[in-house]
Amino acid sequence: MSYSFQFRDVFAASDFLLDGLILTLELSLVTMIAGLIIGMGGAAARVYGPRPLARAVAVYVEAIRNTPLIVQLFLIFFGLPSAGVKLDADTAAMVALSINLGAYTVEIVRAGLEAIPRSQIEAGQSLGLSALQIFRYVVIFPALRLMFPSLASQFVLMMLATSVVSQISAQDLFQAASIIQSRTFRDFEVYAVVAGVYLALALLFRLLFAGLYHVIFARRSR
Amino acid sequence: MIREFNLNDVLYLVAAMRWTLALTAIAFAGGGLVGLMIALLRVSSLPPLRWIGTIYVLAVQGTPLLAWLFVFFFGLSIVGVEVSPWIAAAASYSIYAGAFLGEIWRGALQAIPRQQWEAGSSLGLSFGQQLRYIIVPQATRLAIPPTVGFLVQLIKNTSLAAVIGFVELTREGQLTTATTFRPFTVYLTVAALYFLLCFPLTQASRRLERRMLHGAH
Amino acid sequence: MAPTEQPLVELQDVVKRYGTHTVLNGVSLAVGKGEIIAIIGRSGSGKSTMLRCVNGLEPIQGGSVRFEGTTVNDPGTDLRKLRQHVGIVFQSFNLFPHLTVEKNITLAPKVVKGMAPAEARALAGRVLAKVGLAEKIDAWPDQLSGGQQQRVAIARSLAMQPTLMLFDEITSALDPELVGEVLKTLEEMAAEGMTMMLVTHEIGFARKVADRVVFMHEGRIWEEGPAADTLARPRTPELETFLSAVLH
Repeated sequence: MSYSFQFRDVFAASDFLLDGLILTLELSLVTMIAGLIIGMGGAAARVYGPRPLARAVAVYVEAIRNTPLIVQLFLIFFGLPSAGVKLDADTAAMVALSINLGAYTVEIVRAGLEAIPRSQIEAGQSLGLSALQIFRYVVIFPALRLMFPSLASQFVLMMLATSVVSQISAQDLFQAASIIQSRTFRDFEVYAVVAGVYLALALLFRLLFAGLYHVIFARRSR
Repeated sequence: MIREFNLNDVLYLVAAMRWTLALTAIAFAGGGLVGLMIALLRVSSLPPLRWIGTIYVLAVQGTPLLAWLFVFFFGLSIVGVEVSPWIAAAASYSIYAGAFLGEIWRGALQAIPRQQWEAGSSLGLSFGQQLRYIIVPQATRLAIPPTVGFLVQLIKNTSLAAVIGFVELTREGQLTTATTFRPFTVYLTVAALYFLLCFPLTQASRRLERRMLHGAH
Repeated sequence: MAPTEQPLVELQDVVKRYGTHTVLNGVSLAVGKGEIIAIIGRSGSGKSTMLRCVNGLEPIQGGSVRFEGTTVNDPGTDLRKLRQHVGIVFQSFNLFPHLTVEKNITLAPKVVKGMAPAEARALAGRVLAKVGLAEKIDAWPDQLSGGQQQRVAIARSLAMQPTLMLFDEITSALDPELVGEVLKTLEEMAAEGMTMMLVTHEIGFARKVADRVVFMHEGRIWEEGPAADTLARPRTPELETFLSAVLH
């Protein structure tokens, strides 16, 4: 049997793709911001917080990092309703992704904070700076610089991982592919095109992060 | 027919873990082979070979694993090639793991100082001998902790094979949910089972890394 | 050195560039068998680069480097073969951290020359005895002091039974109190008649042990001559300035 590739039907359905793309971008953006907030707060609690709080954060981080995202998603979308919390697919997706990314971000931020040499903090102390001043003027900037590359690649991986939300029927880019596939039966073409769109997004994100790094860090201090 | 979630269901889930492990083993073997090639391409002295390695990593790390699974499982069948979930999963996971392992191992190879190569070549060792006796043994020690760490990612990501109907732990969880209608309990159990697999490895990776930093033999 | 005898090492008009930056700008030097040459000069003067050209670690852009009549910079030359006869010791020791002292020394004899393990171990014992570390044969590199590591590195080179030894600032990374033991090893090798080229900052040592001193400046051999004489009566202001700077 010979098969001729046909992309026309796929592009004819570009409305679906566009809608899906928008949700994928929304999910990515919300997740990155939420993940960053959770990560910063969590890392601060983990490094500087009282012992019980630091323990709690550690448990959260390990629980999330040692279980699959898709199971977390199922637990929140299918499981929580039986506990009386009913979320629509998009909300469940955002919650699951944010909780997931947050855990990874805690670890990255913590590693960044702990990578600042003790001698830097001691130098600040011996100049009479307060703890908060040391954090603000001595610790945070070099720490951010150290953690930025890891954060950037984690964010790109998360953008790609948003594709699992299609499994709870959230209408993201990947789900758009399934819909087009069921109408056109052009399986290979659909998934090839969608993979290409993800790749373009990934490269775009990397470029943006590289630019951001340059703007924030490259001009100040070496 | 709806029934209670009971010990039997737990045992079924535990039994499904063996497919999760089998899939992980296949992915690691296939990915290891691909990764080794990618790592060697990436440290090659010939620019075109390096580019091939770079493009591969960029492409695979820039697309969702889910897309690879779908292309191999649904995509190829329509071209006339009937693909079993096993083959589709093996191919997808090898491609995917190859990119990540390749990067980990390239990093380890490149972390060995240039002077080690120089010392080897000054003693008359060939490129292959330098690699075999001097660089790889040192790079292996560096690579073990992140490789074990990636194994955790791999175990977790085998859950995506559920979407092409591969009955591993997550898919077994879906099936159990459908009969018991207790999604919260079932998925919590599934998550706990993954945790039991992954957490010891995560800890081991950390311990190995600490030990390496303190430089034991 | 009799004028008819062919030099062991011969550099002719060697030019080495990194991009547009010229590191060696026409260097010519002949080293006879058994000679000990000390190469001195500021950092960046090209002295280490010249040394590394001798065993082909640095490709050159002009001129020629010959060793025992073989042109080192000829693309057809088997550098692996050549390097079995030219030992080099580096500033940063470059011992293999994953191998014991014995394995560091025996690796090349076994792998390159196909020596039997028992024979190789005996060889390791002999070369270690030469550098005064016979008892460290089973130690790991990170259990040794810097001076000991450097002496193991010397022993590792000696195990290949080279006809020429190159030393690239081998005492520069050492704590001052450890320099002496390494220099003593070098003196003993000199006494045995080894041909040596050494890049060094130890002017006193150069005066005492070297036959000739080569002063490099701006990628050229600025001045050379018998060690004691050249160091006592520099003919160029550059060498005079250099000497007064390093001797305080």
